[in-house]
Amino acid sequence: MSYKPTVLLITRDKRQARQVATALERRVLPSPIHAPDGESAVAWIESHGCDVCVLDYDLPGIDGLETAVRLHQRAPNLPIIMVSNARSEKVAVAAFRAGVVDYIPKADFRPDVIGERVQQFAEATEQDAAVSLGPTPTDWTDQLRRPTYENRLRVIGRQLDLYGYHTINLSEISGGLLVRALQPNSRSAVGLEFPDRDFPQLVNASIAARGSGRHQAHSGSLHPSGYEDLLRAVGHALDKRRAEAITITELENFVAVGGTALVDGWQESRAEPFQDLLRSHDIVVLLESAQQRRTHTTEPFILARLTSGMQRLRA
Amino acid sequence: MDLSAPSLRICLIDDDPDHILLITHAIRRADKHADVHTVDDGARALTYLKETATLPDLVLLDINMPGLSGLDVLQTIKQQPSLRRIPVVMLTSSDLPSDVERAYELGASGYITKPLHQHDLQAVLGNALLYWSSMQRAAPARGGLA
Repeated sequence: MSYKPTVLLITRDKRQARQVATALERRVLPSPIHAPDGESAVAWIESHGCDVCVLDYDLPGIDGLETAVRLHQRAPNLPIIMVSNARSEKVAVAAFRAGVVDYIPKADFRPDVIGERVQQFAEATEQDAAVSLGPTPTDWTDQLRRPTYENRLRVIGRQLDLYGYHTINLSEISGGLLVRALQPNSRSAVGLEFPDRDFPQLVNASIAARGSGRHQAHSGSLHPSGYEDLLRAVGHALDKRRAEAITITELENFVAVGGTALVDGWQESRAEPFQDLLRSHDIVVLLESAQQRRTHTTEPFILARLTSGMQRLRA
Repeated sequence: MDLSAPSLRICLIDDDPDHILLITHAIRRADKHADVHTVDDGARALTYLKETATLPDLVLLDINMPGLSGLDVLQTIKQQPSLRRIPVVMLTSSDLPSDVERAYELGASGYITKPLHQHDLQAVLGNALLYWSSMQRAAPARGGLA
């Protein structure tokens, strides 16, 4: 699976933690975040969130049941799988009442079973997220107005498409984004400023044009369906990795995307520089992912544009 | 959009004294408090970077230099754990795609085509400030993150 869920494993048993990590690795899932007790797990969820949780009943401090209750309060949709050595059925009942979605007695504990359950719940979570991305008429404009990279880059991409700019070099600075681009049918460069304060106005223009969205996209070898689609897909990936200080440079054979990204450690997160060189096959993956996210939306012309763009990139 | 304080420490590596003069002036126009250290040779630049007590926040590096080329210098910088986090922006007079792509493959953060436009320099300096601001928030030892 290309989707990489964050798995939180709450257990004081280091051996069990290693076994689960190995089982997840076999399924090409990321290593779990390991919390040794309930309190630290709750703190983690509050600050970071996760996609699936594996929770041992037997914990130091607050027990597994109380931990499940607190996690469920903070993340009602989080699938919690409890592993328990309690012999009483009452614990299982209490666990389900606390919001646990699956209960595995330790007598039946096998790391590969945990791996399988985690994968099932992660896939279900991903599908739910995809469905929920289909905006309702009342909330999609609010979604577009959020100043995420996906939205900010999308409206910039739309402007670039509309006016036919090409060969872009985009840098984020304090207060906005600067773009250097070549003018239509020319090798002469122009500097464009997209201050954050203008973002609402650009979004409103995009919303007003929505539905008449078959604008003439300037296509290139790395963005066959235009900058709006490419930058939106790149922006989505940047939001997911909690990027900052970004640069996007279009070159002949790849698009270079750089900046800093937050990397989670157990105690704290730290910023690390990154530089990705997106070649055509990477861009196909990004656009495919964007297409899947929008399968449930009412934007058939965008889907058609993405599909034909990907076909051209694959060719 | 403005380039407000704090100012950047910049190491400018270029063998052409005319370019050094022009670029230094352009930097001062964008940020009058910028601390610019100039070096006219790749090997001397590497010695400086390895020995200086205060690492620069940004390296502006000419691609075409006699002796060690800009790409050689870039490769060495990105291989040094103590230097690899410093953003390196290449200066190129040719806009030769193969050189620029090679620079990105070696870890360059960007490039500016000479003659240098103020808009491009503003983008590079502004982005470097934001980069260090982001790095500092998570790890407050500016210049000593390696």
